[in-house]
Amino acid sequence: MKTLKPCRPLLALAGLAFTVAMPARAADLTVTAFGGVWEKSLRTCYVEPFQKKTGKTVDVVLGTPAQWVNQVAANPAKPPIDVFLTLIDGAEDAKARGLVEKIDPAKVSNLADVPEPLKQVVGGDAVVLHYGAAGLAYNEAKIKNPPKSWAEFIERTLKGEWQAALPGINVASTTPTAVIWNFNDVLGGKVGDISPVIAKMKALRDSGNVIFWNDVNQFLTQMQSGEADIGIYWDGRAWAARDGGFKSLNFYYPAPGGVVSPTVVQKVKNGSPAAWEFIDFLFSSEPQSCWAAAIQYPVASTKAQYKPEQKARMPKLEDVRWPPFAEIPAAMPKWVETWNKDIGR
Amino acid sequence: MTATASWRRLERRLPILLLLAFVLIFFAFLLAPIVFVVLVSFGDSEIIAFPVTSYSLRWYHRLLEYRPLLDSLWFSLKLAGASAVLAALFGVPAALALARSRSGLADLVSTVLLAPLSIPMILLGIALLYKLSAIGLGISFTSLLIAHTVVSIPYVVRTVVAVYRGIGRNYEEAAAILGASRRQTFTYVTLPLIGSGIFSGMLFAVLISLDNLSLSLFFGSAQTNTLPVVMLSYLQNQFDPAIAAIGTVQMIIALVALLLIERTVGLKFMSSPS
Amino acid sequence: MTAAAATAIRRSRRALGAGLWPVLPAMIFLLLFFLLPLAENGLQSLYVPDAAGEPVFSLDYYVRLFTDGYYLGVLGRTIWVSLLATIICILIGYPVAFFMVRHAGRWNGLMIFLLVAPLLTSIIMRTFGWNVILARNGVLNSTLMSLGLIERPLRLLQDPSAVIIGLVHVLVPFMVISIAAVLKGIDTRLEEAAELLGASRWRTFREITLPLSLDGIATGAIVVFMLANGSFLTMLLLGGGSVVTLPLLIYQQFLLVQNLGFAAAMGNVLLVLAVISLFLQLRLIRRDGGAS
Repeated sequence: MKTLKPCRPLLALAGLAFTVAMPARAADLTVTAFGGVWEKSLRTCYVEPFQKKTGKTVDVVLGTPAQWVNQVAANPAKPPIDVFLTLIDGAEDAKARGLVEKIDPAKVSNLADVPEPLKQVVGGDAVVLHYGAAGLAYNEAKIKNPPKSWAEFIERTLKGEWQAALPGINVASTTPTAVIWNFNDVLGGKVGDISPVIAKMKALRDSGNVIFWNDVNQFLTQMQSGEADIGIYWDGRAWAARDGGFKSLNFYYPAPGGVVSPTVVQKVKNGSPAAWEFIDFLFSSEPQSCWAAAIQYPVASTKAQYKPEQKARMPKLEDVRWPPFAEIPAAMPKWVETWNKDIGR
Repeated sequence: MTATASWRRLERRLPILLLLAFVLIFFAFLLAPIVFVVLVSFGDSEIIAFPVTSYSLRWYHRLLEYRPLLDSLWFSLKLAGASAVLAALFGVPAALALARSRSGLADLVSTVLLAPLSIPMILLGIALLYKLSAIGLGISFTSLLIAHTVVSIPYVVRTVVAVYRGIGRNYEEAAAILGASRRQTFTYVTLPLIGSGIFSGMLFAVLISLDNLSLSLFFGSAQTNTLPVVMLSYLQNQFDPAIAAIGTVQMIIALVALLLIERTVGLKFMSSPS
Repeated sequence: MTAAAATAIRRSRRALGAGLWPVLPAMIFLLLFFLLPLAENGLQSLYVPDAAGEPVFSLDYYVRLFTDGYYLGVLGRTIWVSLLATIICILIGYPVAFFMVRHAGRWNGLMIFLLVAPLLTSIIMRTFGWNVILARNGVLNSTLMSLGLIERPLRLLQDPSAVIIGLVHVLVPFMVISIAAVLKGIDTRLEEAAELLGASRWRTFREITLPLSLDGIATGAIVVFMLANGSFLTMLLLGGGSVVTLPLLIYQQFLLVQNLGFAAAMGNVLLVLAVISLFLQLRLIRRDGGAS
């Protein structure tokens, strides 16, 4: 290796880089989280009190559902994650790939305080930790008389009363439920036949009164820059933006109701048995109250306490609509292809 | 001085002035969107919005307070540096051999060495996650390093080949005639001549690694969090100027690093020796 | 030439690249960690779930990609967008690289910094920046309107032009640096000699500088074309979905549909296409700009 000789110091350096110990699992338990406020509150509301109570250590891994599911699928015998805190489409994927266990009420006694519908998601392979719902966010400075129902929203957008911002097909966990299923349902369609929503979306696109967003934060930019006046958005994010200084942004659930998006908990197969203890702790009332106050979403436990101003904004469980989450994954290939070909946004 | 003489001088200078104007417009285009990002990072508002009404350093405080952003930046820098060095170790010898080879195999080998450029990172990430997990490397720094090195090799190979072929054989042959050993020739003649190629190849490798969400995503864990993954996760639920602030910090680090390289190595990588 | 000198030259030629063995470490590394995993993953594209959800051998995904007009259109658009971005990057990048190498002097380091700075901010933030500039009532439209150049705001976002602007913005630094690296190696005495012999500047550039720097343009073109070919976030965020390319569909299959088989099929098509164009391009460079 004559030509390599002058590189010897570099070789040594690279060797060093290679030997940097591959970290063995550092903690007793690994759970998933989204970054920022979520992770911070997960630590203060759940992880730290749990560690204090049990003496077990917990690692929090940041990222996104598709990442976590594949990481476990690649290492099924020794999963790098023990508890998924994930969105419902990620949870359905994990179930379909056989990566998670049924939630066992005997091991999670605090489930007694969780309403029945929240325990029956993902065929019993998950429990809802908290939920939000999609509705309409609009700029009060521009729109005085917002549409009462989803149908009215569609018709008045077609008439050109405002510029609307809708999520494009690539916004996972949003478009399939809040747009495709929601509009289709309002227009009288079924999961197996989305031609009603596709026809309307085509008309909306061609009207020139709709722009699309493809990243959850892009919606806020579009609203602030005046590209859009109203659009489909999530309650928690909309309120956070208003409280954060976007004073003219308002939010509500048009009739017949908002579209729910639950965040769920799953126990990974072959993961640490301590996961059950942690999941049980997740649903005890004190941490749930702490979590609700931190992330501003309604939580699962009926014993959780809320501040009055939060209570006023919160969607009631009976007011939100539940898309058929279990049926959607099977329909997705066709939905996506149809949308791509006919709407292409 | 006659009118024709000054006209001639202007004529002589005009191309350079036009070129200068073009370059200035170019940088205005390049920096235009970034200026707003930097401005917003010094804003006082809870959300990212423009125009910025009042200024503060609160988002830089936030970076100190919310550690994952800075921690993962540091981790990403180490990873980017290590993969660029590894890529250079694999890539430079290969490039030198390829640049002067008359073998019919050379095109084929070049194609293979450049091929990692042409596959969408998501697919490479998935493929490597399952492969490296199967051989027991799993989700680790080593796995990340391997993945990032795979995509860095093409940059080093390509830039070094191009530069090495451009400089011709004369210098090395002169050194050989003057009695320099192969090693001396390489260290004192070849290496300095291809410096701009190695520098730009490694620079590309670092830039691609720092921004490589699709590949890093699959190897993220509590111990191996890269900045793009943490940012993506952070942006899932909030849109505040902390993300603008971390970008600004990255730019400052790049500025300091480039200045240090210039001062210590003393190499003007991209300008003609005159 | 003395016999000793001739031996020395032969020796140096042999040492510096007559054999291809120095490519072995890199080849073995890529064989293990690129070709093998990718081949294993690529096999998935040959198995399509049947009615019961069991994977069975089938060429269905490929048949769909090559017979369905929609997918052929996407394929064509992918190549077209990358090609357009590459050409614009060459046209914009060359003068900048030339200025940087020949005239920037001590501003050289600063120029490199300015080139890489945009690449160090997250795509989400860059998109925000473009939004401030290109929106209906954004900086650009209001400036143009106050200057009286336009009467109504131009629609610049959510449009293919925004995608091209965004792609060129992040890829042109790669072009500039690739060209500059090669320009730096060119012996300026060649140009001086040409000018002394009475060639005009333009002729010197066209007949000496440009041919010698072709390898740099080729490097930049390969890097820019391949990076454009693989990017989907710019299409997604700046184009608002108005430009759909193959990597975007791969991302969809991964994220929305979780169909890795179809994603792998599209990836293989993209890979084969890219590798063929790579091979042809390398052949071309060797013949034209080739070794001096």
